[in-house]
Amino acid sequence: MKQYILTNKKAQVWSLDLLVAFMIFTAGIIIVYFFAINYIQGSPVILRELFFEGELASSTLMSDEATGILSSGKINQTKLDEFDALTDQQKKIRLGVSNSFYFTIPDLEIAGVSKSAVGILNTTSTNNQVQTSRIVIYQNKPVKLSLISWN
Amino acid sequence: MELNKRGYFFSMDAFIAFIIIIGVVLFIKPPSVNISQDMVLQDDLLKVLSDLKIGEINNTYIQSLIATNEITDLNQSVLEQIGEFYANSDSRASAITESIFSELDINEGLAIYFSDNLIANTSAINWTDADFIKTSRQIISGVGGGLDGADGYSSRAFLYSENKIKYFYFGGYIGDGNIALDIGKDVESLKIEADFGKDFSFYLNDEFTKTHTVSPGVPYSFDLSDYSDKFVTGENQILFASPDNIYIAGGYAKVTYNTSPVSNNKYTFPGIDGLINIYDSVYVPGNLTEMDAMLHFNSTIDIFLQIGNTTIYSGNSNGEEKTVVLSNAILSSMLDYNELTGKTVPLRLGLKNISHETNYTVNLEVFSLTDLSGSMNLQGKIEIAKAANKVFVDYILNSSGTRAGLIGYQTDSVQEYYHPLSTDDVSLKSKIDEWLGNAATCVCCGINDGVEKLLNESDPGAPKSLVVMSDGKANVKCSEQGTGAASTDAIKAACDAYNNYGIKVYSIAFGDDADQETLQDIASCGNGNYYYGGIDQMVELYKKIAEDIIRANYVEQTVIGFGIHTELFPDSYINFESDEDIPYGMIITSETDIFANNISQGSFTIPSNSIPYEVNLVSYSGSKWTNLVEVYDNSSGLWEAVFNLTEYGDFYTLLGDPYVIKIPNEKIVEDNTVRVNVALSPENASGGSSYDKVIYSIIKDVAAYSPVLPVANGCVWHIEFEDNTNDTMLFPPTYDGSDDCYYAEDNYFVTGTNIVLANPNDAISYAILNLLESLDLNSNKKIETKFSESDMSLSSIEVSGLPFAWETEVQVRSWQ
Repeated sequence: MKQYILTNKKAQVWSLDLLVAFMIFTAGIIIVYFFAINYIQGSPVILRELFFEGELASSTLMSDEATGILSSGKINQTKLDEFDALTDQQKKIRLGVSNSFYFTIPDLEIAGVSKSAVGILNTTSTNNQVQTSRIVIYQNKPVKLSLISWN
Repeated sequence: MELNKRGYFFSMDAFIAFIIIIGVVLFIKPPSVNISQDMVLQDDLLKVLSDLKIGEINNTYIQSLIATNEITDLNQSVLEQIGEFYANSDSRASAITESIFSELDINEGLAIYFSDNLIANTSAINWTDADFIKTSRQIISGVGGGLDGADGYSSRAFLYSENKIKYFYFGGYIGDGNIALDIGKDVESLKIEADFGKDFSFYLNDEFTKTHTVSPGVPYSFDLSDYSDKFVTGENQILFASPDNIYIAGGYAKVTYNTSPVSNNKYTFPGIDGLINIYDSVYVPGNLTEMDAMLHFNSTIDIFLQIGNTTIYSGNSNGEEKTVVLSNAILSSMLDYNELTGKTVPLRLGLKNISHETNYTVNLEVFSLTDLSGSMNLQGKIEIAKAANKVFVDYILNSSGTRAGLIGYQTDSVQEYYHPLSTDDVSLKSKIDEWLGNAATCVCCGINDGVEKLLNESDPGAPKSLVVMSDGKANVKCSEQGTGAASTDAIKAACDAYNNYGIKVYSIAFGDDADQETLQDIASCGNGNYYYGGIDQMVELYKKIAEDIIRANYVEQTVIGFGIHTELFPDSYINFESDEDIPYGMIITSETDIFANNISQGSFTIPSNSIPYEVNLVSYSGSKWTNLVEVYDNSSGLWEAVFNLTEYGDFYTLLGDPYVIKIPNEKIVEDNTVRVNVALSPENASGGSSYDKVIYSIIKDVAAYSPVLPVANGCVWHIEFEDNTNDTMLFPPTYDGSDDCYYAEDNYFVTGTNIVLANPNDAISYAILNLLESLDLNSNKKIETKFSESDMSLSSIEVSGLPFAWETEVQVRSWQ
């Protein structure tokens, strides 16, 4: 009995030791995993690309050229409506960007209807998103145009 | 115990592995990367405000300003409207900007500056704490005013301090007696420089100030800074007084007034209590149209007033005060006004036939020093010299009271040929007959012996002269002078005679072999005259010299009048009306250094960017007349006469003697050279005084204007002067703002620029800046002409209906 008891205690010690070791190792693996994931998802390369595309998109958008939505330095409602009517892919092609984007302007209207934004809205959570701020004339008022690029 | 150790084995391994993992994770963590977006908000805002018209903007506050006609030009951009408000110092510049910012709903730092003045910003964060700042700049300008626009202002600034100075010039000779001068009202300060004949006591408004000790022939100057409290607000009068009659042989009183200057087209006679005896000149600028004169005097003897060579008045007052008015009708019938225009004309006011009336005696004493060297035996020159000396003796002794003496010199002064001062013409001529030519030529020996004998034999108070004649070169030296050369010993002997004893030395070059240069220097340094002639002219020349010596002492003789008292009152005047156009600008008067040479030649430079207004050569001619004044023509290389006394006659005692000779403006160029000679008669001119100089006034257009600008507020000016002093002045004096403007070389080290205008759209500051730049003659950011706040005159006119330009730099700064 006494020996049995001793035998059982010995097995319990090893089991407990193994369990603790497993937990410690698992924690280390988890840390490495999350670090690696986050490092890849928030890499500066991607952010830089988003910033670049945000600036490119905003500059292309805020021009009097055919690709832009301005006329005489002001947002042309017709051009804006037309831009809004484009498909998501067409919008990207128009602005020469690969990432998704949308922009907001105070008191934005599209085809006479109030709207919160124009572009490709991110309906799901995004990993990377940058905002580019510009000032533009809309409805004869200097307003802030916020263009969000995301992927 | 062993079991327990085994129980920890896996845990320990796992724990160590965990630590390694954490270490690796920490080790391989990438460095922080700072990713920022390139800010373009400042560019956007500048573009938006430039593109959007103020009449179109959808902004409640701005629309309310439009509705109330506070904004009228709806076609200008929002930025231009802000700029116009800013240029007008209108707080609505900030108000409408803040209104626009408030509707922008922007989190980034954003601010608008106009010429470094903050107009509005979006954030309370101080941009100086930001990590990144970006600035966009743009110059905006606009045109304000117009029929419906805002009013503009144009300002004018000018200095008038120098215009408060007037020079009262004494004539070539003013005498003899107590001399008074009315110098006008509101006198601030007075400086006098003149050649006084005797010590005198000076009175200001009948109050004694000081007794002055002077050296005749040397200009003496003093000011009344210690007696400024004796000036009165009304008419001020100065008086030079002495128990003995005094005279002034040239000089001036420089008077600075508190208020506007008195007229310059008026010749004011000095008051004389004694013997009226004035030798002077007048100058009429422009074309003389009218003139009148008033003489207020008291004399039992006839006085005469002569302008040029025309006597315009002669008469006496029968022992009572008398006022004689000479109207334009009278004067125009006697004078050719065209002849008086634009040139210096001698003026003489004196007592007629005074020699007859005074019954004076002349104590003139003169030695004739004749070269009796061996060369005089050639060509019969010694006989000519004898004949000439006899004529000389006759002429000198012809005037009562004069005495003549004879000295013959060879290798030394020959005592057997010497005759002491005497009135015995027979004895003198007998001695002349004994003369023989022999040996060398010691000119200095003759002069030194003549000086010694004059000092021993003559009346101490008598005018003394030496007449030295030579037909060759001095070739014997004198130990008294010790210059090392015979010719320079001779010159120095003459200088010593005049400088030490007041003995005038006249010189005669006899024939072509004479050392003319040395003889000229002898006469110049001896304050006499130089003559040259050949064998045929020598007798006539000696006669002429005798006359000149007599004339030279005419002035001195007139002051020795006994039993005569005349009085000329200082309210006497000659008034000239001319059509002279006085150019607009500030008159800056300056004096050259004295010429400091015996040929009386000097130079002066007129500053660039100025025009000559009045260029006066002043000639201290002593008892002689200023005879000829010439200006060197740089283009032709010739001397051109601007004054020649011989135009008015040969007998100078009847003519005026100018102290001031105006040099016509058309003769003045940037670099000028002038020369003067003086004479007793047309034939015996010599160099003028070494104290001669030029007093010139130039006109600089220091009236400065601003263009039409939005505001006329002013500034606190910090100005540095050429003497390295600094002053702070309010322009206008009522300015109560805090804007600082700078015109100072030292300011560069503070602000990085020498000139700072707080508001370039301020008309007054703009005008002041233009004025200071014109006063900065050498453009070194220091002002040459000292002035005070009260010297500046400012005026601003509000301009309606005229467009005006404004300009400013806009900065839009954004930061994170």
